[in-house]
Amino acid sequence: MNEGGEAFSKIGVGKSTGTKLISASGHINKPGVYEIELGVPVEEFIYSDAYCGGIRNGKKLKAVVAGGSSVPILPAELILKTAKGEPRLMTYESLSDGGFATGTMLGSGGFIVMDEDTSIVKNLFTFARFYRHESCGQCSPCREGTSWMEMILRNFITGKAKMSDIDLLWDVQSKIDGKTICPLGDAASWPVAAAIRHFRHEFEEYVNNPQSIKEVKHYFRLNNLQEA
Amino acid sequence: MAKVTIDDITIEVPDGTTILQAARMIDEKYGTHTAPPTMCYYSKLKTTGGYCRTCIVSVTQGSEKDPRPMPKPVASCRTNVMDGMVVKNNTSPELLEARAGVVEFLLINHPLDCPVCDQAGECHLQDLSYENGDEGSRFQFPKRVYEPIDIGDKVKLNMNRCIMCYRCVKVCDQITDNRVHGMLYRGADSEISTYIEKAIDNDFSGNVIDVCPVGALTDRTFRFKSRVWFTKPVDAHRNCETEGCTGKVRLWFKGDDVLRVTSRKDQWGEAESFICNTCRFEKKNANDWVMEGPSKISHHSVINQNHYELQQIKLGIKRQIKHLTGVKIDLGEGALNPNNIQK
Repeated sequence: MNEGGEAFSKIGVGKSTGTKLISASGHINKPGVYEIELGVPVEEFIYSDAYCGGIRNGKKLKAVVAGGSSVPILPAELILKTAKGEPRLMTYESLSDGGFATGTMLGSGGFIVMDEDTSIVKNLFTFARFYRHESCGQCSPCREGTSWMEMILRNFITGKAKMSDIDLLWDVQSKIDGKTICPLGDAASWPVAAAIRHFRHEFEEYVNNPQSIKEVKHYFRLNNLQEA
Repeated sequence: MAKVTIDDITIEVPDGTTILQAARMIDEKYGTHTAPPTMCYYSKLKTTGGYCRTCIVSVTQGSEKDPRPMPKPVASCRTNVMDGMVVKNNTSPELLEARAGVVEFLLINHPLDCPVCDQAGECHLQDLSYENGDEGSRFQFPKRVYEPIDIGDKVKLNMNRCIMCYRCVKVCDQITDNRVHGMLYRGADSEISTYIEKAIDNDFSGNVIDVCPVGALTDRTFRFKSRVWFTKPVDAHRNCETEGCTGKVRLWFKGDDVLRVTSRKDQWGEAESFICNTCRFEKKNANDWVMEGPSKISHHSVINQNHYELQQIKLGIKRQIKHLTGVKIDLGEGALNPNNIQK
């Protein structure tokens, strides 16, 4: 900043110029806030010692939420390489390459890394709880929809869900997306949509085999949930 | 002046008109049904609208200068028209689908206790779900439940039925001297209430009953006396001394008895003018009033027996057929042009 705007804009790739603060969290060796020059490959950002320092306990990468809880989650193969096979960079353009079908967004820079043991459904439930609490209640789709999505996801992680609930969840999120006053409705629906898009098999596993839920480690204790 | 096309019908309106007002102008001019439904917008009150999202429309051309479509459906009650704007309401199947979603959201926490609700028959939510909603509910969880409370000796508040349109809050803000109630909490837990359940007590508090689109706020003096479709509406007036009250009311007769007094509603279900509590609650004798003759009832509500407007029913049936069978019904270009509509 001291060197002026021109020098600042020389850093970076394409339209994404300058630096950005990335708050890296999740299952990595060195969580923290990093100021990166835009254009660093995602793979380097996760595994390099200068930044995140690799996955904790040498586990494999499962998924990454690249820009805060509201942006679509991406599985490992799509976050490291785009659908076309090019390496993904930490830039606005590269991360959103492929639209929401195979891409995501840099967003606010809240970078959450998940290792192979993580349950996407449980993580999604945590997000949904957050958005239910965060909804102000002014407009109908968000007020009713966020609480409805949370209830459906609660059924998944308590083993009461049916197979049709996956399609119901998809339909509910699609009816919130774009219908609300402020972007909180969109933000609440995108992670749900992306989780179903990329990890549908996990939802199905939860329906077919409710016992498997208990084996998944998670920050959130199931006992608390049943009381709540 | 701005030229705007809504559902293939073009009209010229003054600058600063909202899409909703333009659509209502078209309806008044051609007798069509272009206007999207509204639950929270109220033309007589300021700063209403934008909450319920039932009036969403899709803008397929922003304006003459910038013909790009708007990426998301917009709330027509809060969006001003631009010259050359093209709007799709009933002609866009995707939009009707989206609106059905909003209806579903409004209904998931609504108790659907119409058989015991005083509002049944003149309820906007009934109209809305009948015309725009899907059949059945997919919500399989406990609904929000509140105890009904009395706010004042004249008004009953049943929060279960509330759809949070904020109309009553705006009435207390703008028509009465001081604001005594509002929205408490937030998100799915929000509720309308008076502070510490204090009574609403001023001359115009009864108007919250009229503006409430559902049965959340009902008249305690009329409670359970009769179903609204058994009563006969008659327009009447009296010389009211309360400042701000026009004295123009609608009396609801059953036989020779006046069962209740309300303000007159226009074709959009909105009160034409607000009346005071003396007129509403205390003058329930036909001798107090000068009769003007039977009221004209708009298509809204079942009290207009057997005259429920054809076009809206057609639309509703088309949606239902698509929902049940998956067959897509053509609502394409010109389908709703007034010249093509067979009455």
